[in-house]
Amino acid sequence: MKAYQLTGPQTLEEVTAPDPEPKDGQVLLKIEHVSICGSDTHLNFHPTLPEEQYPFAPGLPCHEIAGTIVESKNPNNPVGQRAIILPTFDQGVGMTNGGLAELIASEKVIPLPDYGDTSDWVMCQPAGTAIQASREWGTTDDKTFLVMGQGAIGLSTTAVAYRMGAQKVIGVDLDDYRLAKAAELGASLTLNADRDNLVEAVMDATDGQGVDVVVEATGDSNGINVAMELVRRQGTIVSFTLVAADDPTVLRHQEWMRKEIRILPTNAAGAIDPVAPIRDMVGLRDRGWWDPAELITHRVGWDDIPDAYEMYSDRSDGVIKVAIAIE
Amino acid sequence: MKAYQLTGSRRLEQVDVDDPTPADGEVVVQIECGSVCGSDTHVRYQPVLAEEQYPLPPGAPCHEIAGTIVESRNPDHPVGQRVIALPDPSSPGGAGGGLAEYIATGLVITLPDTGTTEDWLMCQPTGTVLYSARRWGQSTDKRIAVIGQGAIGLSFTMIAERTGAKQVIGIDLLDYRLDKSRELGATDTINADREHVVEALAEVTNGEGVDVVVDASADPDGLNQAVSLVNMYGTIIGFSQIPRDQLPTFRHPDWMMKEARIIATGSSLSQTPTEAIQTMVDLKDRGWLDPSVLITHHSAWNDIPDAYEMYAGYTDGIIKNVLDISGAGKSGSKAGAAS
Repeated sequence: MKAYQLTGPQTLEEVTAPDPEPKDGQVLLKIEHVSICGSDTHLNFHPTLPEEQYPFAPGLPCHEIAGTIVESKNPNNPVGQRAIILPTFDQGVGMTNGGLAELIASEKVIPLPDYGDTSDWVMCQPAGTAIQASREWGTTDDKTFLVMGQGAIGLSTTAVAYRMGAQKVIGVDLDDYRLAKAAELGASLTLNADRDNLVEAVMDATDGQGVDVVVEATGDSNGINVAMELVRRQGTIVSFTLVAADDPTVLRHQEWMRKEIRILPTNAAGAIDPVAPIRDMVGLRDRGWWDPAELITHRVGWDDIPDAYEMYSDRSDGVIKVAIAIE
Repeated sequence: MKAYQLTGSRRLEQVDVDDPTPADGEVVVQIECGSVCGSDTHVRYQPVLAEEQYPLPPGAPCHEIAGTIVESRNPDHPVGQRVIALPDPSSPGGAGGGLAEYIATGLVITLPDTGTTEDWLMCQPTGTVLYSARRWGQSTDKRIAVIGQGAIGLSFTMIAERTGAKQVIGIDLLDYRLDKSRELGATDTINADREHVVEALAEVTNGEGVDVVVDASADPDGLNQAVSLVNMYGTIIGFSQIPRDQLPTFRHPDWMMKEARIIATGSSLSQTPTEAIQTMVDLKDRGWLDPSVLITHHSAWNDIPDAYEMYAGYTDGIIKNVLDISGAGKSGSKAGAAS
């Protein structure tokens, strides 16, 4: 099969790799559409990693994948069924296969309905992580929220919190185009962290208390410290941010203790059951609750993949979500 | 002022009583409309209560009330403000009720300037449901069944759907309520009169069962039914008010076997009886959920006794009835005359 693989910083090369063989319990998926996640670019595509990490396995970095099952060694997932699939995962190594390829074998399968385009359905993968995060904060209509970072994950969280009845959602980002999208999806106040005094504005909007829940989806190693300034005493921070090994967080420990803040990590890919929240997001899209496909700003093909990673990495051209057709 | 009061089982009589006077921190609300709640009919209007309980205080039984403040001893709530008013059991002048021209209370929920008062009034029952629905926690990882699809059960159905439940199953004995249930967000419905509910529930959930069962049936046996329907380690939310003389035998062994949590809820008895209703008003204001879809009937002041009969008898497709209290002053009926 043809595939891309990361051979160095910002270098995706086309290769021919052997077709994967599904093991017992797995299926082989013919990939139709994939999408890029911030963790693909910030942690893998963009930085200069230790030499021994290159090249990545064919297909990586890409873990938002949908297509049709063409071979099955799992009776629950017959050939012909459309599905989102998650890469296989090795606790020591991380993901061991990916979506920048024609085929992928895995046991982590989320069946899709028979209608609609897989480029739209694949958006239930990132949106499912927002569902997972919502389970960390619990009930919604009795709380105020602030979502730091209005990329695809932050925007999904904004949309999900608003639809669940949040009393207020404040969106924070550095890019105005992302803040405009946040307002469209339900944020009643948006703040540009470059221009606005966040602490002042948030305290103004919350009677000086801070918000009940801060969702930290910046990808910035200092994000959690900013979140601690914005959350109320005994409030909750739900963090999506995956911090690179060479940029660790120095936690403001005293601030955390003083405000008695609950900090909850949400790591969909490494979760004990990464499939469940995505499956539930597919169910919610199916019944019309929210359609995360409204996050798609760009649709590109196989040959555009390296450029699409550059664009996502640079946040250029108003990009939020790229649907990539694997032809 | 003109008022109705309950003088015996299913007997509402018009009376003329003194206007209420507000205590410190209270306001007087000129009532524009009220609505009948299941607890008004099942626990108070319909049963034969102990003789010494009659007559009920003027205005009772009715606690879904909206109107405009005409006198205020509370700086947060000025004259002219439109509000939902909750009867306050701790009020020095007595709790009062909605079947009267005025009520004095310290418990009010501020309404926006837009829209009709009767539409906003529906945030009272649905707000109490919002309070209860928080007890099951997150919705997106749960299948939720609601026994009873009256105004309260339908509100549970709507809230479960909006908050992202995996599946919402409405259960009732009456088809018109099940039709409404599907219209308002239930993914599936079960007619408990015709179908074997346990089997039907297993079928519509593909054998997954339900994680949460809400008992909004007002049926004395509703809690036992909830135990029989809920999954192992599941949660039961109790909302039904059951008259003391109809208390059923609780199926204790079944409950133990399921290890189910049972959570009784009643926001009017909570420390913050206005909070969830105020939140519901805000949510209706931004278009999240409009509980006024529950209104099926309107009744004039003189027809209020008929409205209670209709509600108690589940006749004429009744879900929610708006009572025109502002018509009291315009009605020609004589105080004290039974209508």
